[in-house]
Amino acid sequence: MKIITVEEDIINFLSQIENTIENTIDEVGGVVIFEGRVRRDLDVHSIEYQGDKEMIFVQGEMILKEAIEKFQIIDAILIHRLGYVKVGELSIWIRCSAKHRKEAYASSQFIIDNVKKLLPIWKKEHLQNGESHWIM
Amino acid sequence: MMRMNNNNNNNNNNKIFGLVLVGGKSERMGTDKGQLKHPHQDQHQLGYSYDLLSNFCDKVFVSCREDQKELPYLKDYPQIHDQHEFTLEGKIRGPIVGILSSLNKIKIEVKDDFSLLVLACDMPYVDEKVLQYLIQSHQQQQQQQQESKNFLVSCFINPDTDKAWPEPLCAIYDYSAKKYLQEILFEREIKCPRKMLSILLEEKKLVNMIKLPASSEKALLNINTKEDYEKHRELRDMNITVKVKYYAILGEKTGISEENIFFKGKNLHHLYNFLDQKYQFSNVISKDKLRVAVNSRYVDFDYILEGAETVMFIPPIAGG
Repeated sequence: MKIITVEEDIINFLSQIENTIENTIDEVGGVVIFEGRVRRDLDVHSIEYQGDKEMIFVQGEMILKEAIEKFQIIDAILIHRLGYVKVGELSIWIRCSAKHRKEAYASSQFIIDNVKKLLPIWKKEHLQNGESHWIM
Repeated sequence: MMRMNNNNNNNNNNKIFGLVLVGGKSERMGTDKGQLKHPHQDQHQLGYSYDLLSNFCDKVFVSCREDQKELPYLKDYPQIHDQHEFTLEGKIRGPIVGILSSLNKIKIEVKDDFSLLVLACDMPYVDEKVLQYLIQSHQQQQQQQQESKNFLVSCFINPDTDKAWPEPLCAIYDYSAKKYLQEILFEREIKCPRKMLSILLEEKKLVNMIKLPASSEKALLNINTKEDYEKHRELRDMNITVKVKYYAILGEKTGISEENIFFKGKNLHHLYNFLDQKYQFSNVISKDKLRVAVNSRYVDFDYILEGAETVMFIPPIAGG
């Protein structure tokens, strides 16, 4: 189980932690990876994510623990991007590994839903015209 | 709060040492006053006084009796014990013995002249502001009178005493004051430091008497009895310090990411109201849109604070 916040492109970060992700546990029969991305919008230039790392860790751990228990999955990893994120870049990366695909999909959905409800992360849209506002 | 670096600010290059007095018998309190929890802080009174003096002094010592030296709450602090020669052959004890012993002991170590900032551990309302005021006044006087060097002690006029007595237990003593204090002790056998300072003031004009800053008039209250102490502990219910973190629209409104807040109240409604008054949060977001967390966990606004928690008011989140 891992909860990580990064201030660089998640794609680049993933290559650094590749070796630490369990790939070899025999019991794993299905892995679901969810990627959230900053989508293209005519007006939006970039997104700024602000978050309280301490509380992200506490709340993130509660979410992942609950997912692992509730769906009896083998492992879960959650990475959230902070700082400025360009269109097309990843904002979140969730990996659920389970015996079967059903639990892997269900737990992935459970985690992203709870992230949106509980993680203290705020999003500010920076527009092409130079204006910006917090999404509330 | 600005902290003094006396190496830069002290114009005659005197070092300032600190001395916390904990040697009293605390008979009326029934327990060592230094060991008692500070009425509003999460540390004992000795720890509070020691940390406070450390902000201003080159080194801080604790004045205590030899028989206290192994007490668990004391043993890790640098101590100066009462020296026999100042006890009039064991006849007296009290703060003046601690002050004279310390002036004597520190002089042997540092050789140069120095000033001693003295604070009794049972004055929990003395804070950084009060000490800074005292030190600044002392240094200004020294500067103005460097030739004649008239004032050897700077102290506050204690407004809680009947005739505006000098307060000797929150004061600065230059090393040169030692010989005068010693004279009064040895020759007149006067051991009350308040009387000693009055004599120094009236007969020798050696004392710089300072009026407390207007907002700190209660700073010299001291707590001697269990009843007093309980009364001051009760006030704790109304005065709480918490760390508050600000993010997103609230961070923009306050212009800072976190701060310590000292406020009157018990729960998060009270804290919110206090902050709303200070920063006008309601101009940018209504209270019913905010959630709140204490120590990284979501709680209700009715949550009762104890003090020292980290609080975050949470505007609508948008992670994922």
